[in-house]
Amino acid sequence: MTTSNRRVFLQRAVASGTLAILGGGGLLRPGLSSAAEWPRHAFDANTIEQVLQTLYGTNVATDSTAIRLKAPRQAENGALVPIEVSTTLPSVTSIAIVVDKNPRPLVGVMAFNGAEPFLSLNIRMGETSNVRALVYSQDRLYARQQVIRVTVSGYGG
Amino acid sequence: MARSTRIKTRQRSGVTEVLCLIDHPMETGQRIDPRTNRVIPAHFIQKLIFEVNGKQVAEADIGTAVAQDPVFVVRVRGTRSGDTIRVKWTDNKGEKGSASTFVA
Repeated sequence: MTTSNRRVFLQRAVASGTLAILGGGGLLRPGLSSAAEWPRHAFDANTIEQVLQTLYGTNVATDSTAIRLKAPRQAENGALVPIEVSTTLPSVTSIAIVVDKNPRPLVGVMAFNGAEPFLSLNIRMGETSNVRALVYSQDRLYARQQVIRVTVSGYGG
Repeated sequence: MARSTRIKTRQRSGVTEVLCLIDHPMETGQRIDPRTNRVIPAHFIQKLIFEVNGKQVAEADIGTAVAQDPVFVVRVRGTRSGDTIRVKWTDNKGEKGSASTFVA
């Protein structure tokens, strides 16, 4: 890490720390810090816009066919829906999965620092919903989405 | 309660695929216990860290929308036979787990 990089990192660390104290979102940049806190604000958010704003500091995501979202069109059981995301986008720092209609849309986010940009998870869905894969690449946010039909809620009721 | 964390690797066209299976209830905090009529408190893994030879290569933050007994897959390029692959996790109640294996 060069001195200037370290300085930028420290500034960001201080800035996000201050925001956290103020109760703000704490602009998290996935993949930037190895000892990052679990992004509580992003997981507590109940709209897509809030999730994007908290996690990436933007609410603009460009649709990209360079993202592959492998998911069923129909899921009998919302308690276990297999999702796989891969991409050919360059320098990917993170991949996230968001379910629009879940009570808490953010499912998870994975930051990469050497591993291939790939994410595979069995997720829980409350009802039929649009599902988005979000990929952060070279300081820009890209998305691919698909509707998954759910017969039985994964939230047990 | 000790939870089982299992890890294994397999080779797939030049990529080492790491599979991790964790026995964990991943309680959403939204289910109601039919016996007591009370909400079952949320209990879920929050953070996972994946390492190759002690160096972190990926980190996952997850919430309650990840299914019970989760399986995680990480793909790594350029590993050598004998490299150590390790996963560590922590949940919202402070429980921890880890497992490691060697690249075949």
